Amino acid sequence: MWTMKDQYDVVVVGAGPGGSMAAKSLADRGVSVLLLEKRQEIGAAVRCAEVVGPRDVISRFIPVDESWVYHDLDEVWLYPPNGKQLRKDFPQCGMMVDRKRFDKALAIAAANAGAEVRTKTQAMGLERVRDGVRLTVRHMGREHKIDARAIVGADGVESMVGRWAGMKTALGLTKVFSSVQYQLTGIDGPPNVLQFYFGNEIAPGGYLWVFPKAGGTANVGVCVSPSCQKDLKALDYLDRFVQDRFPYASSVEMVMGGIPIGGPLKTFVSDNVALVGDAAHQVNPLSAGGIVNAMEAGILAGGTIADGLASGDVSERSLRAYDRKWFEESGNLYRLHARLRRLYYKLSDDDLNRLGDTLENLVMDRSPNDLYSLDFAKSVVKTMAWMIPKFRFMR
Amino acid sequence: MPIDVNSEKCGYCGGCVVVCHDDAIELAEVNLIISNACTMCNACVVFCPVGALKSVDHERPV
Repeated sequence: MWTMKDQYDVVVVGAGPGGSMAAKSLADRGVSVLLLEKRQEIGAAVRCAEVVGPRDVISRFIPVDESWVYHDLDEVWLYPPNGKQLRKDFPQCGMMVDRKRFDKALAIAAANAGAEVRTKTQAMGLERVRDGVRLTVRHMGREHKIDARAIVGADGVESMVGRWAGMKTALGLTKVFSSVQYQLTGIDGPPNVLQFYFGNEIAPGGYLWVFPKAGGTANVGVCVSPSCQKDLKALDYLDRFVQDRFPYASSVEMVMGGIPIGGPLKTFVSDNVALVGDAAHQVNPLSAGGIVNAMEAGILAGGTIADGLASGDVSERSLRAYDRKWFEESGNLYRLHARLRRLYYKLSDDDLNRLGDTLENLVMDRSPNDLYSLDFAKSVVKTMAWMIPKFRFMR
Repeated sequence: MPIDVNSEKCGYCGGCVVVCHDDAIELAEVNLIISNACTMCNACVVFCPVGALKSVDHERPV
């Protein structure tokens, strides 16, 4: 096979945003990197509602290219179960992107930085050898062995790298969202508005979204908690909503997914192995967003491994620096958001309506960044304690 | 195989892999592989967003 060597400093498994950023940051440091993608095309099939952070955040990772941006997002509309519309201006709170092009652009950036990238190449197994790990990969029906000092597992919600490394990654049904989405045509409405619908009949334990894309289309999807859903599946909830609201729409894409919203793994590392993104369960437990988080983690993990290689130590103890940096940055917020998520599971439709009534006051003077502050999360918990009778004990 | 995969429904999203506590499910590109390590806990069946997984009753005479 064409020039895939049998030895690299680091192999990154999975060329999503987390893997590509890890590969890029390693290559930037002069480390030899192989970035593997099991699918034949990076970015496809999409498993995402395609909202990412705003321009100023994304441009920290890659120059924003209009070829993968649909539009900027400036407004959020929320619908509690009673259907009352809550509108909030959040200028520049994010971007709608084409994840196929976005992911590919990131992988190209990694390649341009010096990483070798291969598609349709799947990691099959991992064994520890002296001084590192030996990865078995499969490409076009043939197996190859690759030795590396370290492996980055950026292999998504279905991560095998973590399991091979002996890390406990399986999740209970309260800690994962079951999700499905259509890209629908003929959706009217302003393109710069994110719409969210809540309610136990609409999206038990989760929410339903309408995110506009180009040409009068929108990503319309739902995430539900399998622990809250009744006899229906995520797809049943979505179909019911679409039949009700957009009966004449056509669907030009269907996306399914599991979202690990239980909070981060206790540790992202073991000897010679680091996990990033969905594989490390670094998805925000409240919003279920995970792209910027994965990219940040990719850079943290890449930097830590590069440091470890420079000092000749990529053991678990050395890689723990990645854990420490991540938890220092996001640990408290994720803990609080995971708590909010658990409280959210218990809300009845009446409770949600009540919350909706106060939400306007709660978010009145907040900027989009504030919504991800500890302070805001605390004020939501406090409001819930006062608004929701069954949370009286928290007062 | 104790769990039946309906390939006409499966979207190969891999969510079932993370809810499997037996390490019995693997997603190989667009091929879901369920091994005999499966203890029929049904978590994947409950999880699947589109109802592509079904547990198969092996007691039944073939």
